[in-house]
Amino acid sequence: MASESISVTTSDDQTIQLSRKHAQMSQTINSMLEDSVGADQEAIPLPNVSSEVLKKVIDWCTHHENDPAPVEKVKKLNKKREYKAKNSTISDEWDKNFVNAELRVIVDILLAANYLDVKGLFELMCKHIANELKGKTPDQIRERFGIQDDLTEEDKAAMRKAWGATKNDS
Amino acid sequence: MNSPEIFPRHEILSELTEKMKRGKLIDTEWASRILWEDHKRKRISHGVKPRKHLVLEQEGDAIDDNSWFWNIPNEIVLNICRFLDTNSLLRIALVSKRFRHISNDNILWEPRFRAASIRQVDYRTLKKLSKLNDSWKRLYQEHRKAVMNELVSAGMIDPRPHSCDLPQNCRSLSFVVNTIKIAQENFDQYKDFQIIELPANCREWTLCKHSSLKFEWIEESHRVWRASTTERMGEKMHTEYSLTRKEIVIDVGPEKGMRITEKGREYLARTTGCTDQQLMCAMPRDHPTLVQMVHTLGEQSGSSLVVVSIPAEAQWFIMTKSDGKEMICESFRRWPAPTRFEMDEIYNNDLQCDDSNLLYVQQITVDEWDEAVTKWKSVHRDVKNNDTEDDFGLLTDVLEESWR
Repeated sequence: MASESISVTTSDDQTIQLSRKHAQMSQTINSMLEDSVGADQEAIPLPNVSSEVLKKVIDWCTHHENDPAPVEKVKKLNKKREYKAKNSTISDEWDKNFVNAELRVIVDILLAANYLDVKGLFELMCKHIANELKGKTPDQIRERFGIQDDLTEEDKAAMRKAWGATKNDS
Repeated sequence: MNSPEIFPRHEILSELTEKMKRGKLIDTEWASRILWEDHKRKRISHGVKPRKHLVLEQEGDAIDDNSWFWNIPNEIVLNICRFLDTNSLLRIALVSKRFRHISNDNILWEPRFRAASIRQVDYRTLKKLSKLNDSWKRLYQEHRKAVMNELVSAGMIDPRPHSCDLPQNCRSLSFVVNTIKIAQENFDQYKDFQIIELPANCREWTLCKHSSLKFEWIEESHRVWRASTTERMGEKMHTEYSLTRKEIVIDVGPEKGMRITEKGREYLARTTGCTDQQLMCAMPRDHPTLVQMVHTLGEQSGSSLVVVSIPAEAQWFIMTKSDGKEMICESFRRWPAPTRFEMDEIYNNDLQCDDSNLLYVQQITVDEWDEAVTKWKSVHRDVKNNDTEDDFGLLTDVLEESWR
C-alpha cells in the first residue's frame, strides 16, 4: 500500500514531506509517482522549485484540496457571438490574500505551478499578472515589470496609427 | 551505456539530483534534455510548454532584478494575455518588442475576429478582408474599422461628441481617471463635489462655453488619452488647458503689473529687508518670497487673485475673451500679456503663472494698469540699457507694439 505522505527534494536541497493527496494535485509529481510504483520510495527531486516556493504551492493545495478537479472546457461563443476574454476575476478571498505578494514571488510560483503542472494555481497566477497588466499604460507596465523599452518611436507611431490612438497613449 | 530514455523518469531525476549534490558538475545540456523530454511526455494541458532551460538556473545564477520578468517564457506570457481584454492587449503591444510579438499571436486574435459579426459588413469589405491573410489581428482590425463605418453610415452610431450640462455654480473641475469631479461654489468642501462618470471608452473630453461638457469616444479606444479642463473666472473668461503636452513655467511678480498694497509691501519689506523701489526693480517675478506673499496674503496683497491649478503637463490653454474670441496660449510663446484691446475694458485679466503651476488671474483697473505699464516701460528700458538678459520676453515686446 502506498504511504500517505511522500517526500520531495527541492532545488535548495531541502526535503519536504507532503501528503499524497496534495502531491497528486501536481500532474508532474503524479506522473513520477506512477512511474515509480514498486520502486524504493526515494525523495522526488524537484530541481526547479525552491523550498520557499514549494511551501507556497503546498499552502495553495491545502486550501484547494477539496475543489473539484478542473474540467477542460471547450470555449464556446455566447449567443450574441461576442468574444470575451477569459474572466480574470479572482473571487476567492483566500486566493486574493495568497496573490498579495511581491511580483517576483508571484512569478516564481507561476513558474513552479507550470513546472509542477498545478492547473488551478497556474491559472490563478496568470489571472493575477493579467490583472496587473490591465488598465496600465505601457510606461507603467515597463516600470512595474522592469521591462526595457526597445521599441522605436516609428514602431509606436505605426501601431498607434493602425488603431487610431495618439502619441499620448504611451 | 545506459541510455537515459530507457530509465524510469524517477531514476533519471534522482541521478540528476545526485550529480548536482556531489559537486554541481552537471552536464547541463544533458540534464536539460532529460528534463525537456520528461516535460514533453506529459505535455502540460494548458497548452503551455515548459521552457527548456529551467534546469540551467542554478545556485549563483542570481536573476537580475530588472530582468526577472524575462524568465517567464513566451508561452506563459501568451497564456496570461488570454485574460486580457482587447484594449489591454493593444496597450501591451506598446511595451516592448517581445510584448508586441506576443500580443500579435493568432491564438489571441482569431477568436476575437471569429466572434465579430461578419453580417454587419458589406460584400466589398468582405472581399477586402478575404485578401488579408497576414494575421488575425490585422483581419480583426480591418473588420472593426469596416463595422464602425457601416454603423456610422447606417446612423446606428453617432460619431459626434456627446455633451452634458454642468451645474451653473460650477467652479472647478478635476480629472480622475474616468471621473470628473466638479467642485461647486463652496469648492473647498469635498462633500460638494459632483462626480460625473465618463464612459469607459471615453477618449477625450473638453469643456465648451461655460456649462457644457463635451466628451467623445471611439470604439476600441485604448484609454483616455487626453483631457482638457476648464475654469470659469468670474463672468468673463474660461480657460482650457490640456494634459497632452509638457508643463509651462511662467513667472509672477510686480513687473507684470501687480499692484501691491501697503500690506503686501510691508510683508515684502519685512521678509526681504528691501525698499519698495528695490523690490519692483530687482526682485525676479518668480522670486519665492513674492510667490509666498501671494499665497500668504492673497487679496490683501493687492492682487485680487483667483488661483487655478494647472496640471504639470499642461503646455497650452485657451482663453476666451469677453468678446467671445478665443486665444491659444502656448508654452513656447510664454503666456501672453494683455493686449490694448483688453485695456479698453474696465477690467483687464492678466494671466500669470508661477513654477508651481498655479494660474493667477488678476483684475486691475485701467488706472492701475497705466501706472503699472509705465513702471514696466522704465524697467524694460533699464534692462535694455544694461544689456542684460531680456527677462520679460514676449510680454514687453507685445506691450511695445501696442504702444506704437
